[in-house]
Amino acid sequence: MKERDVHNLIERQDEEGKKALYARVCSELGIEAKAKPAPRSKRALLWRALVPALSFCIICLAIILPVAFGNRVDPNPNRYCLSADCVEVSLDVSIKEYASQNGKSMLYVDWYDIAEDVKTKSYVNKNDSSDIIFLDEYILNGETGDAVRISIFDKHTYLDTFDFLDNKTYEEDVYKNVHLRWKVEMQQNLGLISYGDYRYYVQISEPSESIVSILKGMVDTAVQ
Amino acid sequence: MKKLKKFLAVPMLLASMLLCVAWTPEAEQDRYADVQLISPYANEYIYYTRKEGDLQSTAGGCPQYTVIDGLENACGPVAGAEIVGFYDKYFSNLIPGWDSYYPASGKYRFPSDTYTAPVIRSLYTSMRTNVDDVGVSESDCLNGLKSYINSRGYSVNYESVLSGSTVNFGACKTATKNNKVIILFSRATNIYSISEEGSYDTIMPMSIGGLHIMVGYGYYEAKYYNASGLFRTDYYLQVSTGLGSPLPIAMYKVNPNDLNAAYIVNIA
Repeated sequence: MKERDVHNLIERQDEEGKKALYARVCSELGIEAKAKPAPRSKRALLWRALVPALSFCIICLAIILPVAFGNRVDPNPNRYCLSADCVEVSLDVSIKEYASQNGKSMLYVDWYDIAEDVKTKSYVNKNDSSDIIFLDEYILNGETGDAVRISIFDKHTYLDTFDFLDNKTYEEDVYKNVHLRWKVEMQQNLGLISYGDYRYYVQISEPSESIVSILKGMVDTAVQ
Repeated sequence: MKKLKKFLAVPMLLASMLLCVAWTPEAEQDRYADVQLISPYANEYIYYTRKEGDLQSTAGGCPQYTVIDGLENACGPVAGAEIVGFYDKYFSNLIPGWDSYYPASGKYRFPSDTYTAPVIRSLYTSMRTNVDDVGVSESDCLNGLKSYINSRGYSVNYESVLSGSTVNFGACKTATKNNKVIILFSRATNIYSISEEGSYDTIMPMSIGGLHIMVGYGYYEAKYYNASGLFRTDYYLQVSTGLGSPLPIAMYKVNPNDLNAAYIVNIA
Protein backbone atom coordinates (compact mmCIF):
# COMPACT_ATOMS: atom_id res chain seq x y z
CA MET A 1 0.00 0.00 0.00
CA LYS A 2 2.79 2.35 0.76
CA GLU A 3 4.41 1.51 -2.52
CA ARG A 4 1.19 2.32 -4.28
CA ASP A 5 0.83 5.57 -2.35
CA VAL A 6 4.35 6.55 -3.31
CA HIS A 7 3.67 5.52 -6.91
CA ASN A 8 0.49 7.61 -7.01
CA LEU A 9 2.29 10.50 -5.35
CA ILE A 10 4.89 10.43 -8.08
CA GLU A 11 2.42 9.98 -10.90
CA ARG A 12 0.34 12.96 -9.80
CA GLN A 13 3.36 15.23 -10.13
CA ASP A 14 4.05 17.20 -13.25
CA GLU A 15 7.07 16.40 -15.28
CA GLU A 16 9.50 18.59 -13.35
CA GLY A 17 8.11 17.37 -10.09
CA LYS A 18 8.60 13.81 -11.18
CA LYS A 19 12.21 14.43 -12.04
CA ALA A 20 12.86 16.00 -8.65
CA LEU A 21 11.18 13.20 -6.79
CA TYR A 22 13.04 10.61 -8.84
CA ALA A 23 16.39 12.22 -8.08
CA ARG A 24 15.52 12.44 -4.38
CA VAL A 25 14.53 8.75 -4.26
CA CYS A 26 17.73 7.73 -6.01
CA SER A 27 19.89 9.75 -3.57
CA GLU A 28 18.16 8.25 -0.58
CA LEU A 29 18.61 4.77 -2.04
CA GLY A 30 22.21 5.47 -2.94
CA ILE A 31 21.80 4.71 -6.66
CA GLU A 32 22.70 6.73 -9.67
CA ALA A 33 19.85 8.61 -11.20
CA LYS A 34 19.45 7.74 -14.79
CA ALA A 35 17.90 9.90 -17.35
CA LYS A 36 14.47 8.69 -18.05
CA PRO A 37 14.22 7.48 -21.60
CA ALA A 38 12.10 9.58 -23.82
CA PRO A 39 8.65 8.13 -24.13
CA ARG A 40 8.07 6.29 -27.36
CA SER A 41 5.41 7.56 -29.61
CA LYS A 42 2.73 5.24 -30.74
CA ARG A 43 3.76 5.78 -34.35
CA ALA A 44 7.32 4.74 -33.63
CA LEU A 45 6.09 1.66 -31.82
CA LEU A 46 3.90 0.83 -34.76
CA TRP A 47 6.80 1.00 -37.24
CA ARG A 48 9.03 -1.04 -35.02
CA ALA A 49 6.47 -3.77 -35.12
CA LEU A 50 5.58 -3.42 -38.76
CA VAL A 51 9.03 -3.38 -40.35
CA PRO A 52 10.10 -6.84 -39.20
CA ALA A 53 6.70 -8.23 -40.02
CA LEU A 54 6.73 -6.72 -43.49
CA SER A 55 10.24 -7.92 -44.11
CA PHE A 56 9.27 -11.43 -43.16
CA CYS A 57 6.27 -11.32 -45.49
CA ILE A 58 8.32 -10.04 -48.39
CA ILE A 59 10.90 -12.77 -47.94
CA CYS A 60 8.20 -15.41 -47.82
CA LEU A 61 6.56 -14.09 -50.97
CA ALA A 62 9.89 -13.95 -52.75
CA ILE A 63 10.31 -17.63 -52.04
CA ILE A 64 6.78 -18.80 -52.59
CA LEU A 65 5.73 -16.88 -55.68
CA PRO A 66 8.37 -18.11 -58.11
CA VAL A 67 7.73 -21.66 -57.01
CA ALA A 68 3.99 -21.33 -57.26
CA PHE A 69 3.85 -19.41 -60.51
CA GLY A 70 7.12 -20.26 -62.19
CA ASN A 71 5.67 -22.95 -64.39
CA ARG A 72 2.75 -20.83 -65.36
CA VAL A 73 5.02 -18.07 -66.58
CA ASP A 74 7.11 -20.31 -68.90
CA PRO A 75 5.88 -23.87 -69.33
CA ASN A 76 8.40 -24.57 -72.09
CA PRO A 77 11.80 -23.20 -71.24
CA ASN A 78 14.44 -23.23 -73.95
CA ARG A 79 16.41 -26.41 -74.31
CA TYR A 80 19.82 -26.90 -75.85
CA CYS A 81 20.44 -30.24 -77.51
CA LEU A 82 23.55 -31.97 -78.77
CA SER A 83 23.80 -33.54 -82.18
CA ALA A 84 25.37 -36.59 -80.54
CA ASP A 85 22.00 -37.20 -78.88
CA CYS A 86 20.04 -37.23 -82.13
CA VAL A 87 19.18 -40.14 -84.39
CA GLU A 88 17.71 -39.84 -87.86
CA VAL A 89 14.32 -41.28 -88.72
CA SER A 90 12.93 -41.20 -92.25
CA LEU A 91 9.39 -39.94 -92.64
CA ASP A 92 7.01 -41.11 -95.35
CA VAL A 93 5.23 -37.78 -95.47
CA SER A 94 6.21 -34.30 -96.49
CA ILE A 95 6.37 -31.39 -94.08
CA LYS A 96 3.06 -30.18 -95.47
CA GLU A 97 1.42 -33.54 -94.83
CA TYR A 98 3.07 -33.90 -91.43
CA ALA A 99 1.76 -30.50 -90.36
CA SER A 100 -1.73 -31.34 -91.57
CA GLN A 101 -1.78 -34.75 -89.87
CA ASN A 102 -0.55 -33.33 -86.58
CA GLY A 103 -2.62 -30.16 -86.54
CA LYS A 104 0.42 -27.93 -86.69
CA SER A 105 0.90 -24.66 -88.51
CA MET A 106 4.17 -25.02 -90.40
CA LEU A 107 5.73 -23.27 -93.36
CA TYR A 108 7.13 -25.27 -96.25
CA VAL A 109 8.60 -24.85 -99.71
CA ASP A 110 5.68 -25.53 -102.00
CA TRP A 111 7.47 -27.38 -104.76
CA TYR A 112 5.70 -30.68 -104.13
CA ASP A 113 3.76 -30.61 -107.41
CA ILE A 114 6.91 -30.11 -109.44
CA ALA A 115 9.36 -31.93 -107.20
CA GLU A 116 11.53 -34.60 -108.68
CA ASP A 117 12.47 -35.83 -105.23
CA VAL A 118 11.42 -35.17 -101.68
CA LYS A 119 13.18 -36.56 -98.62
CA THR A 120 11.78 -35.79 -95.19
CA LYS A 121 13.37 -36.87 -91.94
CA SER A 122 12.97 -36.28 -88.26
CA TYR A 123 15.86 -36.13 -85.86
CA VAL A 124 14.76 -37.52 -82.52
CA ASN A 125 16.19 -37.93 -79.07
CA LYS A 126 18.08 -41.23 -79.09
CA ASN A 127 16.66 -41.99 -75.64
CA ASP A 128 13.09 -41.02 -76.49
CA SER A 129 11.92 -41.44 -80.07
CA SER A 130 8.80 -39.39 -79.38
CA ASP A 131 10.96 -36.37 -78.62
CA ILE A 132 11.56 -34.67 -81.95
CA ILE A 133 14.55 -32.36 -81.98
CA PHE A 134 14.02 -31.07 -85.50
CA LEU A 135 12.57 -31.92 -88.89
CA ASP A 136 14.56 -31.87 -92.11
CA GLU A 137 13.31 -31.83 -95.67
CA TYR A 138 15.12 -31.87 -98.99
CA ILE A 139 13.15 -30.97 -102.09
CA LEU A 140 14.49 -31.08 -105.62
CA ASN A 141 12.64 -28.84 -108.04
CA GLY A 142 12.07 -30.91 -111.18
CA GLU A 143 11.78 -27.82 -113.35
CA THR A 144 14.79 -25.81 -112.22
CA GLY A 145 17.01 -28.45 -110.67
CA ASP A 146 17.22 -26.39 -107.50
CA ALA A 147 17.62 -28.41 -104.33
CA VAL A 148 16.53 -26.80 -101.09
CA ARG A 149 16.95 -28.05 -97.55
CA ILE A 150 14.69 -26.89 -94.72
CA SER A 151 15.38 -27.61 -91.07
CA ILE A 152 12.54 -26.87 -88.65
CA PHE A 153 12.90 -26.42 -84.89
CA ASP A 154 10.24 -25.53 -82.37
CA LYS A 155 10.96 -22.12 -80.92
CA HIS A 156 12.29 -23.52 -77.64
CA THR A 157 14.78 -25.99 -79.07
CA TYR A 158 18.35 -25.31 -80.12
CA LEU A 159 21.00 -27.68 -81.45
CA ASP A 160 24.75 -27.27 -81.11
CA THR A 161 25.56 -27.86 -84.76
CA PHE A 162 23.15 -25.13 -85.84
CA ASP A 163 24.72 -22.49 -83.64
CA PHE A 164 26.91 -21.32 -86.46
CA LEU A 165 23.83 -20.51 -88.56
CA ASP A 166 22.40 -18.39 -85.75
CA ASN A 167 25.64 -16.51 -85.30
CA LYS A 168 26.02 -15.25 -88.86
CA THR A 169 25.23 -11.72 -90.00
CA TYR A 170 22.17 -11.64 -92.25
CA GLU A 171 20.36 -9.21 -94.46
CA GLU A 172 16.83 -8.58 -93.23
CA ASP A 173 13.40 -7.69 -94.48
CA VAL A 174 9.79 -7.96 -93.37
CA TYR A 175 7.21 -9.68 -95.53
CA LYS A 176 3.57 -9.99 -94.42
CA ASN A 177 4.69 -9.06 -90.92
CA VAL A 178 7.15 -11.94 -90.89
CA HIS A 179 10.80 -11.17 -90.26
CA LEU A 180 13.02 -12.68 -92.95
CA ARG A 181 16.78 -13.08 -92.76
CA TRP A 182 19.02 -14.31 -95.54
CA LYS A 183 22.63 -14.53 -96.62
CA VAL A 184 24.39 -15.37 -99.87
CA GLU A 185 27.56 -17.35 -99.14
CA MET A 186 30.21 -18.95 -101.23
CA GLN A 187 28.88 -22.49 -101.14
CA GLN A 188 25.22 -21.90 -100.41
CA ASN A 189 22.48 -19.40 -99.75
CA LEU A 190 20.95 -19.31 -96.30
CA GLY A 191 17.63 -18.15 -94.98
CA LEU A 192 16.09 -17.91 -91.52
CA ILE A 193 12.44 -17.43 -90.59
CA SER A 194 10.83 -17.35 -87.16
CA TYR A 195 7.10 -17.82 -87.50
CA GLY A 196 4.57 -18.99 -84.96
CA ASP A 197 5.91 -21.86 -82.91
CA TYR A 198 8.83 -22.67 -85.19
CA ARG A 199 12.18 -21.56 -86.51
CA TYR A 200 13.15 -22.41 -90.06
CA TYR A 201 16.64 -22.74 -91.52
CA VAL A 202 16.76 -22.81 -95.30
CA GLN A 203 19.84 -23.86 -97.26
CA ILE A 204 20.16 -23.93 -101.04
CA SER A 205 23.15 -24.10 -103.38
CA GLU A 206 23.32 -22.04 -106.57
CA PRO A 207 19.59 -21.41 -106.79
CA SER A 208 17.96 -20.20 -109.98
CA GLU A 209 15.68 -17.96 -107.96
CA SER A 210 16.74 -15.77 -105.09
CA ILE A 211 16.73 -17.07 -101.56
CA VAL A 212 14.45 -14.17 -100.64
CA SER A 213 11.92 -15.34 -103.19
CA ILE A 214 12.00 -18.80 -101.67
CA LEU A 215 11.52 -17.41 -98.16
CA LYS A 216 8.58 -15.29 -99.26
CA GLY A 217 7.08 -18.33 -100.91
CA MET A 218 7.30 -20.15 -97.61
CA VAL A 219 5.52 -17.34 -95.80
CA ASP A 220 2.79 -17.51 -98.43
CA THR A 221 2.07 -21.09 -97.39
CA ALA A 222 1.03 -19.92 -93.95
CA VAL A 223 -2.58 -20.65 -93.13
CA GLN A 224 -4.38 -17.33 -93.10
CA MET B 1 78.82 -84.90 -85.68
CA LYS B 2 80.16 -81.85 -84.00
CA LYS B 3 81.22 -80.50 -87.35
CA LEU B 4 77.73 -81.15 -88.75
CA LYS B 5 76.16 -79.31 -85.87
CA LYS B 6 78.44 -76.36 -86.43
CA PHE B 7 77.71 -76.47 -90.14
CA LEU B 8 73.95 -76.34 -89.53
CA ALA B 9 74.05 -73.81 -86.73
CA VAL B 10 74.89 -70.83 -88.88
CA PRO B 11 72.22 -71.40 -91.54
CA MET B 12 69.65 -72.05 -88.87
CA LEU B 13 70.62 -68.87 -87.12
CA LEU B 14 70.38 -66.95 -90.36
CA ALA B 15 67.02 -68.51 -91.16
CA SER B 16 65.72 -67.55 -87.75
CA MET B 17 66.85 -64.01 -88.25
CA LEU B 18 65.17 -63.89 -91.66
CA LEU B 19 61.95 -65.20 -90.21
CA CYS B 20 61.96 -62.56 -87.54
CA VAL B 21 62.47 -59.85 -90.12
CA ALA B 22 59.81 -61.25 -92.47
CA TRP B 23 57.21 -61.74 -89.79
CA THR B 24 56.48 -58.43 -88.18
CA PRO B 25 53.12 -57.52 -86.79
CA GLU B 26 51.21 -55.31 -89.23
CA ALA B 27 52.00 -51.73 -88.39
CA GLU B 28 49.12 -50.26 -86.43
CA GLN B 29 47.11 -48.00 -88.72
CA ASP B 30 44.90 -45.07 -87.88
CA ARG B 31 41.20 -45.90 -87.77
CA TYR B 32 38.55 -43.66 -89.27
CA ALA B 33 35.23 -43.87 -87.49
CA ASP B 34 32.12 -41.94 -86.47
CA VAL B 35 32.68 -38.32 -85.64
CA GLN B 36 30.48 -35.50 -84.47
CA LEU B 37 30.55 -31.88 -85.42
CA ILE B 38 31.45 -29.96 -82.32
CA SER B 39 30.14 -26.48 -81.60
CA PRO B 40 32.19 -23.82 -83.28
CA TYR B 41 34.97 -21.88 -81.74
CA ALA B 42 35.26 -18.15 -82.14
CA ASN B 43 35.05 -16.85 -85.69
CA GLU B 44 37.99 -15.37 -87.50
CA TYR B 45 37.57 -12.11 -89.36
CA ILE B 46 39.91 -11.22 -92.20
CA TYR B 47 39.79 -7.57 -93.20
CA TYR B 48 41.14 -6.52 -96.54
CA THR B 49 41.14 -3.74 -99.08
CA ARG B 50 41.09 -6.15 -101.99
CA LYS B 51 40.58 -9.83 -102.45
CA GLU B 52 41.10 -12.36 -105.22
CA GLY B 53 39.10 -15.53 -104.91
CA ASP B 54 39.19 -18.60 -107.14
CA LEU B 55 36.34 -20.99 -106.39
CA GLN B 56 35.90 -24.07 -108.57
CA SER B 57 34.10 -27.37 -108.25
CA THR B 58 33.48 -30.45 -110.30
CA ALA B 59 30.51 -30.42 -112.64
CA GLY B 60 27.37 -30.78 -110.58
CA GLY B 61 29.31 -30.80 -107.34
CA CYS B 62 29.36 -34.05 -105.41
CA PRO B 63 26.78 -36.42 -103.99
CA GLN B 64 25.92 -35.72 -100.37
CA TYR B 65 25.29 -39.06 -98.71
CA THR B 66 25.14 -39.78 -95.01
CA VAL B 67 25.42 -42.75 -92.75
CA ILE B 68 22.44 -45.08 -92.79
CA ASP B 69 20.72 -46.67 -89.83
CA GLY B 70 22.42 -49.64 -88.30
CA LEU B 71 25.90 -48.94 -89.62
CA GLU B 72 28.35 -47.61 -87.11
CA ASN B 73 31.65 -45.92 -87.86
CA ALA B 74 30.77 -45.79 -91.55
CA CYS B 75 32.52 -42.65 -92.74
CA GLY B 76 34.69 -44.79 -95.05
CA PRO B 77 31.74 -46.53 -96.74
CA VAL B 78 29.84 -43.24 -96.99
CA ALA B 79 32.78 -41.47 -98.63
CA GLY B 80 33.29 -44.47 -100.90
CA ALA B 81 29.63 -44.40 -101.91
CA GLU B 82 29.87 -40.68 -102.68
CA ILE B 83 32.83 -41.40 -104.95
CA VAL B 84 30.92 -44.19 -106.65
CA GLY B 85 27.91 -41.91 -106.99
CA PHE B 86 30.07 -39.15 -108.40
CA TYR B 87 31.59 -41.33 -111.09
CA ASP B 88 28.29 -43.06 -111.88
CA LYS B 89 27.59 -40.02 -114.06
CA TYR B 90 30.57 -40.90 -116.24
CA PHE B 91 30.80 -44.67 -115.92
CA SER B 92 27.41 -46.23 -116.33
CA ASN B 93 26.02 -48.70 -113.90
CA LEU B 94 28.54 -48.08 -111.18
CA ILE B 95 25.38 -47.97 -109.12
CA PRO B 96 23.27 -50.71 -110.65
CA GLY B 97 19.94 -49.70 -112.15
CA TRP B 98 20.17 -46.06 -111.16
CA ASP B 99 21.46 -42.76 -112.39
CA SER B 100 23.07 -40.85 -109.58
CA TYR B 101 22.38 -37.48 -111.18
CA TYR B 102 19.60 -35.50 -112.82
CA PRO B 103 20.27 -35.35 -116.57
CA ALA B 104 18.61 -31.96 -116.99
CA SER B 105 20.78 -30.12 -114.48
CA GLY B 106 23.71 -32.45 -113.96
CA LYS B 107 23.24 -32.12 -110.21
CA TYR B 108 23.47 -35.18 -108.05
CA ARG B 109 20.42 -36.88 -106.66
CA PHE B 110 19.61 -37.20 -102.98
CA PRO B 111 20.67 -40.53 -101.49
CA SER B 112 18.26 -43.35 -102.15
CA ASP B 113 17.23 -46.08 -99.73
CA THR B 114 16.85 -48.35 -102.75
CA TYR B 115 20.05 -47.63 -104.62
CA THR B 116 22.68 -45.85 -102.55
CA ALA B 117 22.03 -47.63 -99.27
CA PRO B 118 23.00 -51.01 -100.77
CA VAL B 119 26.21 -49.47 -102.09
CA ILE B 120 27.07 -48.19 -98.62
CA ARG B 121 26.33 -51.60 -97.13
CA SER B 122 28.43 -53.34 -99.77
CA LEU B 123 31.34 -51.02 -99.11
CA TYR B 124 30.84 -51.45 -95.38
CA THR B 125 31.62 -55.13 -95.91
CA SER B 126 34.35 -54.84 -98.52
CA MET B 127 36.16 -52.21 -96.43
CA ARG B 128 36.07 -54.55 -93.43
CA THR B 129 34.48 -51.87 -91.32
CA ASN B 130 34.72 -52.53 -87.58
CA VAL B 131 36.48 -55.86 -88.22
CA ASP B 132 39.96 -55.31 -86.82
CA ASP B 133 38.97 -52.27 -84.78
CA VAL B 134 36.47 -49.42 -84.94
CA GLY B 135 35.86 -47.95 -88.37
CA VAL B 136 38.27 -48.53 -91.24
CA SER B 137 41.94 -48.19 -91.90
CA GLU B 138 43.23 -46.31 -94.91
CA SER B 139 44.28 -49.49 -96.66
CA ASP B 140 40.99 -51.28 -96.00
CA CYS B 141 39.07 -48.25 -97.23
CA LEU B 142 41.00 -47.98 -100.48
CA ASN B 143 41.04 -51.73 -101.08
CA GLY B 144 37.35 -52.06 -100.35
CA LEU B 145 36.48 -49.24 -102.74
CA LYS B 146 38.70 -50.76 -105.38
CA SER B 147 37.05 -54.12 -104.90
CA TYR B 148 33.61 -52.60 -105.46
CA ILE B 149 34.67 -50.65 -108.55
CA ASN B 150 36.35 -53.73 -110.00
CA SER B 151 33.18 -55.71 -109.40
CA ARG B 152 31.34 -53.20 -111.58
CA GLY B 153 33.78 -53.81 -114.42
CA TYR B 154 36.03 -50.80 -114.00
CA SER B 155 39.55 -50.19 -112.76
CA VAL B 156 40.76 -47.58 -110.33
CA ASN B 157 44.04 -46.12 -109.21
CA TYR B 158 44.83 -43.66 -106.46
CA GLU B 159 47.15 -40.73 -107.03
CA SER B 160 48.53 -39.15 -103.87
CA VAL B 161 48.47 -35.36 -103.57
CA LEU B 162 50.74 -35.39 -100.53
CA SER B 163 54.40 -34.87 -101.35
CA GLY B 164 56.41 -35.46 -98.23
CA SER B 165 55.10 -32.91 -95.77
CA THR B 166 53.31 -30.73 -98.31
CA VAL B 167 49.99 -30.89 -100.10
CA ASN B 168 50.21 -30.53 -103.86
CA PHE B 169 47.46 -27.94 -104.21
CA GLY B 170 48.19 -27.61 -107.90
CA ALA B 171 47.38 -31.27 -108.37
CA CYS B 172 44.14 -30.75 -106.46
CA LYS B 173 43.17 -27.89 -108.75
CA THR B 174 43.98 -29.95 -111.82
CA ALA B 175 41.89 -32.83 -110.52
CA THR B 176 38.90 -30.52 -110.09
CA LYS B 177 39.28 -29.10 -113.56
CA ASN B 178 39.50 -32.66 -114.89
CA ASN B 179 36.31 -33.54 -113.00
CA LYS B 180 37.92 -35.89 -110.53
CA VAL B 181 37.38 -36.17 -106.81
CA ILE B 182 39.85 -36.60 -103.99
CA ILE B 183 39.46 -38.91 -101.01
CA LEU B 184 40.77 -37.28 -97.85
CA PHE B 185 41.93 -39.15 -94.78
CA SER B 186 41.78 -36.39 -92.25
CA ARG B 187 42.92 -36.02 -88.70
CA ALA B 188 40.74 -34.28 -86.15
CA THR B 189 40.54 -30.76 -87.41
CA ASN B 190 38.21 -27.91 -88.31
CA ILE B 191 36.10 -27.45 -91.38
CA TYR B 192 34.83 -24.05 -92.30
CA SER B 193 31.93 -22.01 -93.50
CA ILE B 194 33.06 -18.78 -95.17
CA SER B 195 30.98 -15.64 -95.53
CA GLU B 196 32.01 -12.72 -97.69
CA GLU B 197 30.91 -9.47 -96.06
CA GLY B 198 32.32 -6.98 -98.54
CA SER B 199 35.34 -5.60 -96.75
CA TYR B 200 36.01 -8.68 -94.68
CA ASP B 201 35.47 -12.41 -94.62
CA THR B 202 34.00 -14.32 -91.70
CA ILE B 203 35.62 -17.72 -91.26
CA MET B 204 33.40 -19.91 -89.07
CA PRO B 205 34.99 -23.15 -87.86
CA MET B 206 33.26 -26.40 -86.98
CA SER B 207 35.37 -29.01 -85.30
CA ILE B 208 35.48 -32.61 -86.43
CA GLY B 209 36.36 -34.42 -83.27
CA GLY B 210 38.18 -37.44 -84.71
CA LEU B 211 39.73 -39.11 -87.73
CA HIS B 212 37.35 -38.77 -90.64
CA ILE B 213 37.18 -39.55 -94.36
CA MET B 214 35.71 -36.96 -96.73
CA VAL B 215 35.49 -36.33 -100.46
CA GLY B 216 37.02 -33.24 -102.01
CA TYR B 217 35.23 -32.03 -105.12
CA GLY B 218 36.60 -28.55 -105.59
CA TYR B 219 38.94 -25.91 -104.33
CA TYR B 220 39.01 -22.32 -103.15
CA GLU B 221 42.06 -20.11 -103.21
CA ALA B 222 41.76 -16.73 -101.49
CA LYS B 223 44.35 -13.96 -101.73
CA TYR B 224 43.93 -11.04 -99.35
CA TYR B 225 45.43 -7.60 -99.90
CA ASN B 226 45.78 -4.53 -97.74
CA ALA B 227 47.68 -1.26 -98.14
CA SER B 228 50.94 -3.18 -97.90
CA GLY B 229 49.99 -5.63 -100.61
CA LEU B 230 49.32 -9.37 -100.43
CA PHE B 231 49.30 -10.31 -96.78
CA ARG B 232 47.61 -13.67 -96.74
CA THR B 233 46.72 -16.59 -99.01
CA ASP B 234 44.39 -19.39 -97.90
CA TYR B 235 43.91 -22.69 -99.64
CA TYR B 236 40.83 -24.82 -99.21
CA LEU B 237 39.29 -27.90 -100.69
CA GLN B 238 35.52 -28.00 -101.05
CA VAL B 239 34.42 -31.19 -99.36
CA SER B 240 31.35 -33.33 -98.99
CA THR B 241 31.50 -34.11 -95.31
CA GLY B 242 29.21 -37.14 -95.17
CA LEU B 243 27.79 -35.66 -91.97
CA GLY B 244 24.48 -34.33 -93.25
CA SER B 245 22.62 -31.35 -91.91
CA PRO B 246 23.56 -28.60 -91.29
CA LEU B 247 26.98 -28.90 -92.87
CA PRO B 248 26.88 -31.46 -95.67
CA ILE B 249 29.48 -29.44 -97.59
CA ALA B 250 32.22 -27.28 -96.19
CA MET B 251 35.62 -25.77 -96.77
CA TYR B 252 38.59 -27.89 -95.72
CA LYS B 253 41.72 -25.85 -95.13
CA VAL B 254 44.70 -27.41 -96.84
CA ASN B 255 47.26 -28.26 -94.22
CA PRO B 256 49.57 -31.27 -94.43
CA ASN B 257 49.47 -31.50 -90.65
CA ASP B 258 45.74 -32.19 -90.84
CA LEU B 259 45.93 -34.90 -93.47
CA ASN B 260 47.17 -38.44 -93.08
CA ALA B 261 46.62 -39.08 -96.78
CA ALA B 262 44.78 -37.73 -99.80
CA TYR B 263 44.33 -39.38 -103.18
CA ILE B 264 42.85 -38.38 -106.50
CA VAL B 265 40.53 -41.22 -107.48
CA ASN B 266 40.99 -42.17 -111.13
CA ILE B 267 38.48 -44.61 -112.56
CA ALA B 268 38.76 -46.11 -116.03
